[in-house]
Amino acid sequence: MAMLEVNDVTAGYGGGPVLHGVTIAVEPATITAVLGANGAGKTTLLRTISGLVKRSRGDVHFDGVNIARVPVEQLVQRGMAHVPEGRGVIGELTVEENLRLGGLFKNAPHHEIYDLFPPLAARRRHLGDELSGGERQMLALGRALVAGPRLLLLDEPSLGLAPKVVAQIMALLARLRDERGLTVLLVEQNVRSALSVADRGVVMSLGRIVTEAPADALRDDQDLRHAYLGF
Amino acid sequence: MQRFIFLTLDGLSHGAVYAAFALAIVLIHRSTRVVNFAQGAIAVASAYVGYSVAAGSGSYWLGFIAALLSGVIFGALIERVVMRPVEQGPPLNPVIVALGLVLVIQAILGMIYGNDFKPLPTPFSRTAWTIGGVAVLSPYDLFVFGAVLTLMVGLALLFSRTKAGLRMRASAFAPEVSRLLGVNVGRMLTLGWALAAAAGALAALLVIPTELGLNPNAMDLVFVSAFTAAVVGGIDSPAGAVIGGLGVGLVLSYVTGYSSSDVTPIAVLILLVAVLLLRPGGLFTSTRIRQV
Repeated sequence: MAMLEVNDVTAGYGGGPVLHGVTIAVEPATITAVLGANGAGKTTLLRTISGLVKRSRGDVHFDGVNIARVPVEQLVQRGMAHVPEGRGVIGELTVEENLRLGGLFKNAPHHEIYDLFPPLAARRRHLGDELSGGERQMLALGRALVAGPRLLLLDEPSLGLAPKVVAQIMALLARLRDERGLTVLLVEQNVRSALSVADRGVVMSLGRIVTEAPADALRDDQDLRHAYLGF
Repeated sequence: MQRFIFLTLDGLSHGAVYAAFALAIVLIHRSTRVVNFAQGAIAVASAYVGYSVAAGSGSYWLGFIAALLSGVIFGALIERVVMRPVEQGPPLNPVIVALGLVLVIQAILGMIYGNDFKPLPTPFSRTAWTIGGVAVLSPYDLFVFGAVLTLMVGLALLFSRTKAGLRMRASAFAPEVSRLLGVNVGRMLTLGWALAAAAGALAALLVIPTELGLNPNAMDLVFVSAFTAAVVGGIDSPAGAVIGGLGVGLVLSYVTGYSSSDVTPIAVLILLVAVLLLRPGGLFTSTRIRQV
């Protein structure tokens, strides 16, 4: 059974729908990359899954349970973590406080995050605002991992980061999938990086899914790449 | 020189109350971006509850506790019932609702208690000790300083050391991210309003006996002074509110002492306008432009 099922979801903000009848299924312990141009609805898809954007049609099942009526703040207890676009580090709080916040709902310890991201350990008393872009991404990711999620919704982790840092983050995602069975729904503009670790790729355009294929097919099939990803 | 010392100490004593009240304004503004113009009216309502309990039981301290508890309840109720529905709308809506709330609360208090000034007792003497012929502080002044200091230390510990404090700060800075991390932001707002109203009630209890007495409008001028203090302090900074409160207390004490108490209300307004014109961000601002 798929861990996450999005069934025929239409959703949007005040000015009309952004997503038009989107359906996807995410299998456990896989990385699914959601690809597409700016404005394709990738971020809105993640925000709809976690309930920040209201659906006008369709539903979302997590672990087979319809989460339509589950408040946003309870999803983390069910094992879903969402790292929003722009990373969501709270700049007015310290690194330590950001991490504590991630595990507060179940008193989860956050010390192993420092092992996962050693640069954060040296900066634990610094404010989020004082971190570099790469450190912020580590913090946002680490803060989500403190909660021990089974499903991670990750919005543009590569945005504004050096290629080397992006590669490290992608490698970490692959490791967490392989070692802990973490399931990741990864929204990315950086197609090559995303497909380097993903198991499946979903291509969106103008609020619709235009194709869905194994990641290596998207990576290696020139026709598919030309048609949907433009390179 | 003697007069200067007296006015300084008196100003600090009043300033401590403004600081407590400014803290209440800052607490709510930080989490909701709303200046709660009903803060004074809510505080007076709590003071009336304390007055009734104290009169009925004969104990100042029972009344004191009742006033603080009723502040918690009024604050939480008003946030949930009155303010929550208008929070999502245009930013002016909560302001208008708060102003309406002032009229409603003051009218209800007037109907129940009448509009005359009722003397509020003090638990300690207001007669100042004299050192070398100079009147310095009264036992009541020390009580005021102690109460406000306890409030400040309590709030500081709450925000820096407890889980609820971390959740409240996170909710104030980044509500959406906080929800994604499992924080019930709505509950934190209610808690913030409850705390703020209790702080306001404390300020009312401390200041009303030193003024004309309990009256539905008793906190109007205090509100303006405390609002000025909060603006001086940058409206989002608790430390700024405390420094602003003491500063405003001193300025008003000197103005009143060296000219006349008639000009105090005007002096407050001039100070407020001057701060808004010269340093609209406040002197101790911690706000910054948020990048979306």
